[in-house]
Amino acid sequence: MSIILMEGIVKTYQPNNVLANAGIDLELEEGKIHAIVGENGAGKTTLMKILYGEEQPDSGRIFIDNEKVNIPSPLVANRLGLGMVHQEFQLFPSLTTAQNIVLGAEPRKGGLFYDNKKADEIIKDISVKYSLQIEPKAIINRMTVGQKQRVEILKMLYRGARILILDEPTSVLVEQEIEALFKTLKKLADSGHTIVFITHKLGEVKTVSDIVFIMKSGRMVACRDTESVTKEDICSLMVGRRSEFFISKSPIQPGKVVLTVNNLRILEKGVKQPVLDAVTFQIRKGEIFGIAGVAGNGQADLVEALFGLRKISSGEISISGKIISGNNPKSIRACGVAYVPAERTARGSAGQACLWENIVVSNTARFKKRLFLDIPAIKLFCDDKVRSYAIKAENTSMKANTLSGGNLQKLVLSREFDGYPEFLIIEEPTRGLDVKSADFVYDRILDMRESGCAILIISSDLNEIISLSDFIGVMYRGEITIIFDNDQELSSYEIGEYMMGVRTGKVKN
Amino acid sequence: MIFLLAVIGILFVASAFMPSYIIQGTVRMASPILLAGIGGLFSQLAGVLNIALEGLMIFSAFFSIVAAVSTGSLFWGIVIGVFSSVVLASLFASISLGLDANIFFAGLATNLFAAGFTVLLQTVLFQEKGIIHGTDLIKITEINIPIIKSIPILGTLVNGYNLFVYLSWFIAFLGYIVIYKTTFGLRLRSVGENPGAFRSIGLNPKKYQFIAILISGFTCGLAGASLSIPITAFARGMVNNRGWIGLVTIFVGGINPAGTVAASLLFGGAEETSYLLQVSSLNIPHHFIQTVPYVITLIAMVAYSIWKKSKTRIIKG
Repeated sequence: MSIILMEGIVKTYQPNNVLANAGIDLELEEGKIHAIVGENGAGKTTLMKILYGEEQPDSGRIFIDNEKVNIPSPLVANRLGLGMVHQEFQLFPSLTTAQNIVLGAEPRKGGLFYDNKKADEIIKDISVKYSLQIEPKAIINRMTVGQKQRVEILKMLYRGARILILDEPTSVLVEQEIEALFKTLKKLADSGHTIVFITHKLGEVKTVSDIVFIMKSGRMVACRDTESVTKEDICSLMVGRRSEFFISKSPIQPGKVVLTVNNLRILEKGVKQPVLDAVTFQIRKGEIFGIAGVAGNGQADLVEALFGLRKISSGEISISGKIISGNNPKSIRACGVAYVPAERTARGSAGQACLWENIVVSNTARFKKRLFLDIPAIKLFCDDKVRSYAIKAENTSMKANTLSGGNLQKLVLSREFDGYPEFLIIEEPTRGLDVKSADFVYDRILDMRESGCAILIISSDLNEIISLSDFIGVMYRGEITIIFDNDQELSSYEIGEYMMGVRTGKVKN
Repeated sequence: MIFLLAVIGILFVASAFMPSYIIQGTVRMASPILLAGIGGLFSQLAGVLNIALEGLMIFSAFFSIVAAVSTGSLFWGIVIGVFSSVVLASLFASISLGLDANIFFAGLATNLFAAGFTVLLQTVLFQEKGIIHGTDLIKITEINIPIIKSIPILGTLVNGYNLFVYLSWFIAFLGYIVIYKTTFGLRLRSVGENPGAFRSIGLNPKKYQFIAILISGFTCGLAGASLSIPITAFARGMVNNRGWIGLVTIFVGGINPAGTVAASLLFGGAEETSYLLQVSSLNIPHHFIQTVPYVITLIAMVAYSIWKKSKTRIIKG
């Protein structure tokens, strides 16, 4: 029986008009476990936030028990029997489990006083009822992530949730905790609760869910009984066919090796799974090396290690034979490395600073006139950059945070591409950009390639990786599990299988 | 708690061989600091750094005397003084929470306003820039507790203070009960820790922060009145940074009521020392002597942060 029905949900995010949900229908069945899968940016979290009242859809209707409802806030969602466990827990670290769970609806004595004993009893009761072991008096900040998650689930159940939404619940858990969570979810479903969870991991879909929804670029592309589909089916639905957008690339004349990464490892204290493990690859002059992978498999950590933003545990990174691992970003920059980060506003630019400041910030030595900066020369230089990168701005004295996403990205490129670096790291080159800006960015990247720059591209857009790269490495759980030569007829489906960890295998370039 | 027991222990031991006026002076000096500290603690727990404590005290010190002089009643003086401080606190809260002004600037403005406005009114109402005397008023008396006053050490420690000293200890105790035993206290502590999560369970963080600031206003009102009412006079500058020191006691005490009590006794002792040195026959320039409380503040802050750092290291290791 259907308990929730979402119809024609549309949601666009300003200011870039990103269409996160393009008319989505979703039907949840009572007492079943539903999995929602899809690539990053497919719109899964947005859809769940709309259901939980955290975001308001532009259009669309929601029915609970066949009755049309309006969910303006999470509070209303709670009242309607919905509960959501976020990736980031919403807990109070110095309070006890019991206090965290009952807060806002506390048992009282004498009207004013908090009834500690009763709260502890209530928590004991519900933890027995749902066999979620928890100590009512335990302080949150001394707990493991798995225990905290249990507290979050209990909190929702205490508030009377019949429908439980979990946003990537397993991404923070270790293997044993995942097993325990699945047991809990099954038990909850057996007792009539409806579960829906977002995941990237297809193994989990097969183990625990009854129904799987597959989303892609803001659309619901399929809804299947989990039993009737294989992991490979789901994978191909998620990734889709190779799209038609095509970039004409000149054939490469591989030059000397620029970047060498040898057996790079990053371990984190107290975590068994290495962040990066035995990462080894090379990039030659005039070559683009793309890294594909589901976000969170070590790509961001690799970039930070390459640019000196993160300490490595062992291994070696060198540029044209010179070892750079262990150096700070400034001296790595001096070795001819440039970096275009994924977060343009947080890392790539200073929003409160003006355009010319953003353009010359890494290059002030060139414009020094004794103690001072030669502002007229800088402005001349920057006017030229603004023109050649087609940045839409009235002048170079306006603040960077007034630029749109596409123009801001061009601004970052104009700085990082200046002086033809030997090695370029580009994360998410076109995320959130419109087609025209994206084309411009691609052209510039290919220009850099032709001028002999070695380029590393990391993107969650697989089509982009395939279109731009000469070689493609796939990262899965901190390892580069395979490296493809992109000369051959390569299918995104095949890459997708490696991204999902359905297949692994080592190949060297 | 250990901190508080240690400080009280020191006081006990000290009162065995030191003249009783030194011990009593310490407790007396601690009382306005304690009142300000407890009020500030409520705001701090709710996640609002209340730097307006000083201004709130100035307001109440002034208005309680003005009201006492015009009504001829100390009781009404205290009530109106406290009320004035609560009004100023609500203004501060409305600006910083309601209008989302930078809390630091709003607090600073509140302090400057209080200092300037009271002097202005003093000049306008009394044609007097120095001191307002309530010469006709009866002074409040020290309270003698039967039986206890004759017990040797305990008698020195807890007997013979004015109403405000007892009130300050009562407020500290009441503060402890409210913070740790009531639903309101539980919510107050939660707001400060994670306002986002607080909102997610349908509670309004600003409401609790507003109430916390009003509580600061109330206790600072008592603190201000406790300075001017016993001597039935107001002089500009009489609050003399006690509000700021109250703010420091919150952090030196580790953001809990017991710690705040202990820290305010520590600073009370420092002030008493500085006072004794001034009246003593030792020939130390008074400029140096007056710095004693602040030097102790500085040392206490450094000691606290070293201690805290080593503690977090132990937890992490």
